[in-house]
Amino acid sequence: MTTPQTLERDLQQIALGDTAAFRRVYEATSAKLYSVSLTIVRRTDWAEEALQDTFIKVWHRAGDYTVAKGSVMSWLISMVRYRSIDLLRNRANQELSTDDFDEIPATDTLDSSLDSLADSKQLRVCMDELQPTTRQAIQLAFVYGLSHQEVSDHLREALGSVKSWIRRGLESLKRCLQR
Amino acid sequence: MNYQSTELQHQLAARFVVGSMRGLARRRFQRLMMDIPKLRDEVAFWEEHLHELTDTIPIQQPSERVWQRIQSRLGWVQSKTETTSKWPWFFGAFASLLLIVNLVMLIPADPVIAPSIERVAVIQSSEARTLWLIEQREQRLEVAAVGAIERLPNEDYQLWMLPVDGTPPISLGLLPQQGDVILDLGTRIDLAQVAALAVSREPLGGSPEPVPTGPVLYTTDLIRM
Repeated sequence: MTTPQTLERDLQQIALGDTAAFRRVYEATSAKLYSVSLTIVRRTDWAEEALQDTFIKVWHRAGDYTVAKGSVMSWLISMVRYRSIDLLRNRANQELSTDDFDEIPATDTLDSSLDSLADSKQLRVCMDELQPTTRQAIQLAFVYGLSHQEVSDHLREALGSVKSWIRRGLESLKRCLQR
Repeated sequence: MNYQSTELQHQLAARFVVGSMRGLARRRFQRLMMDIPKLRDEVAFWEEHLHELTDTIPIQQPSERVWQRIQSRLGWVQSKTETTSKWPWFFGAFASLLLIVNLVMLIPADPVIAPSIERVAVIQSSEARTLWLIEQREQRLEVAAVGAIERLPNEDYQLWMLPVDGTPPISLGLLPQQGDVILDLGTRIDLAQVAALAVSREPLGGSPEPVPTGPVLYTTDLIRM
């Protein structure tokens, strides 16, 4: 069974050139990372590319990982998210069209998706404390990779309001998470 | 901007992680992170917490071909199905050098498995130390900073093409001081018309003029494969 500790050990082994450990990490994490990317880029070929790029990076840079960077899973998610955002912006080079919004969940779906987070998780508690629109704006930006403008279009709210909600929402979230 | 301000650090880190920071601002922030440990800590804080939001995403399995392609890219297997257009990212000196060596060795023997690198360039210091490796595929330059590049906290290295017809240099983009970037040339650049590449030192964000304003530090050839 894969645990944060086994992932850490495998990453250390990858840094030493252990291909079996590399395969184990791929098996344990690729579905999650692929899903994270696919949610952002919304194209299987781009999500596959982001996943490939991420694991090539893992092979060459496993030695860069330190516990100070957070959990291994967090480190991997960061890599695939940032790569996906870069791919999306470099390739599409345009804002989402109205049609694309069909693939982005409606606001009530966004709210209910938070139900899948364990009640015990501090993030869940802190997200629940935010105003619904603020919470949804943060989800759309972080999980779905939407720009401020795209969040504004999707929620049909003014761009300035969206920017303000996200900024203030993150400030509130930080205060709550540090409690 | 005072990047030592705690409040500003909090805001920038959160915007970076959420993804609302884009383009040049994102690249500048990544560079700032290398210099300011508190920014790295802030980013780690947000990443660790916000990544729990990805638990709301339904899990989907990637195709088996992804693993095959990863192995192929790492040179562990020679994929028979690999096409020539999916090598989009460059990660470091070892990978890059291996790639170039592989190309030289593989192209005459088996063009089917050769990646579609069209041109390469190696930018070296005056002491012949490699600083950047550049690969061109179609209209993209994949650039990897591989050597001990002098850090310029308040300036950028900018890459230029020197046209064969002697017209003024044309900017190809900013070079990374660490890591790798892809420079998308669009349709405006015809690399067949490159006489040489040059690197200049410019203000942060690049030359304010269409031509270099800082000193030209390095030049090199763009070699057709």
